[in-house]
Amino acid sequence: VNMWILMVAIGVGTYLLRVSMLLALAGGRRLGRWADRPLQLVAPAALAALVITLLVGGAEPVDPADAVAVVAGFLAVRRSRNVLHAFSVGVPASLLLGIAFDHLPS
Amino acid sequence: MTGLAELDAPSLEQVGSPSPELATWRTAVHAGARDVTPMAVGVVPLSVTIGVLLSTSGLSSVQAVASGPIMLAGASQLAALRLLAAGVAPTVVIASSLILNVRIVLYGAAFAPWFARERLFVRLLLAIPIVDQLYFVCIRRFERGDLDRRARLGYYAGAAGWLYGTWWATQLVALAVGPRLLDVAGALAVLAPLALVALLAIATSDRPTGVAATAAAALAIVAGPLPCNTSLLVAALGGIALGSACRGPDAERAT
Repeated sequence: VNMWILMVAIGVGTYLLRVSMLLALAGGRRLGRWADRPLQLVAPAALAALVITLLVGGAEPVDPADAVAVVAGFLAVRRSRNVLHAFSVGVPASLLLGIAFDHLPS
Repeated sequence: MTGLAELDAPSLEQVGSPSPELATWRTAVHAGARDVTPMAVGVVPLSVTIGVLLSTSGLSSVQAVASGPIMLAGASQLAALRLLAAGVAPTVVIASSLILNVRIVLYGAAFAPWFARERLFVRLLLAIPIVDQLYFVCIRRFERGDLDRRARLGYYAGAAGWLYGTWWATQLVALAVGPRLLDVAGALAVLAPLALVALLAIATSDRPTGVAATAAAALAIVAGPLPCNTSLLVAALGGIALGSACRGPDAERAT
């Protein structure tokens, strides 16, 4: 397969998604209510699906320490509204839990 | 998050002078760059992961370097690379990446009233960098209502330039260092999901978004073994459907 075609297809498609509303809503027009709900839900649904796919999608089984760390990172950002707390909480959690789980009798 | 139907064309000139720190183009650019910095730093783990994946993806070096600016969206770039590595059919790769990016339509709709008075050519340019981080930072700032048209453009340009500059630069460094970073990136495989879960936490602000996220996550686990790696697509669409179905009376107010 030609990778250029694939990359350009994604790039052009994404640009059309980006520019669509800037053009469509130019004259003070608004989007109908029918589009309101699904569009608001795309970000949470797509991001959640991608996070899970990243965690469980690999060849290896899920690392429980990473799974807990991601949940902790989520809660930290939820509370603080600061994206950097995903790392300040999640990375230490992943490392410490990784060590702890390694010492659990299995 | 503002409901689309609630978006009024903002009353732009009703506010007098812009904030002092936004008096000139330069200060506006700096303010945008400053405000987006936490987001830009938060993207670094993701771009490093992408860079390492690029270095092992079998793309030519020109393709690997160009893929960032061509796709210009980290989450879908990462998804595309992983699906390609799994040997997924190109059409499924394209469809999955674009489904991930449909959320950007919402961001475009949120920006539209603020840029409604720009010329067509300017709007075509402004569309290029729209992405989660710019939406979260710029819309929040614009809604304070103290920026005039020029200050908004400067703020937006500063935020976009700094965000994408950091993103591409770190991606290229990781691509160059490549295989040697694999050990580190392997040990810290949690970085990319953390970068995305941070955005997820910002995006889930009420019950319907929470249901959509939870449903999509559950579906992604259940649908993992689906053929052709379509689980991402199925989970995202299922989450949207279930979230829409659950949305109750609070749909009437902007959230």
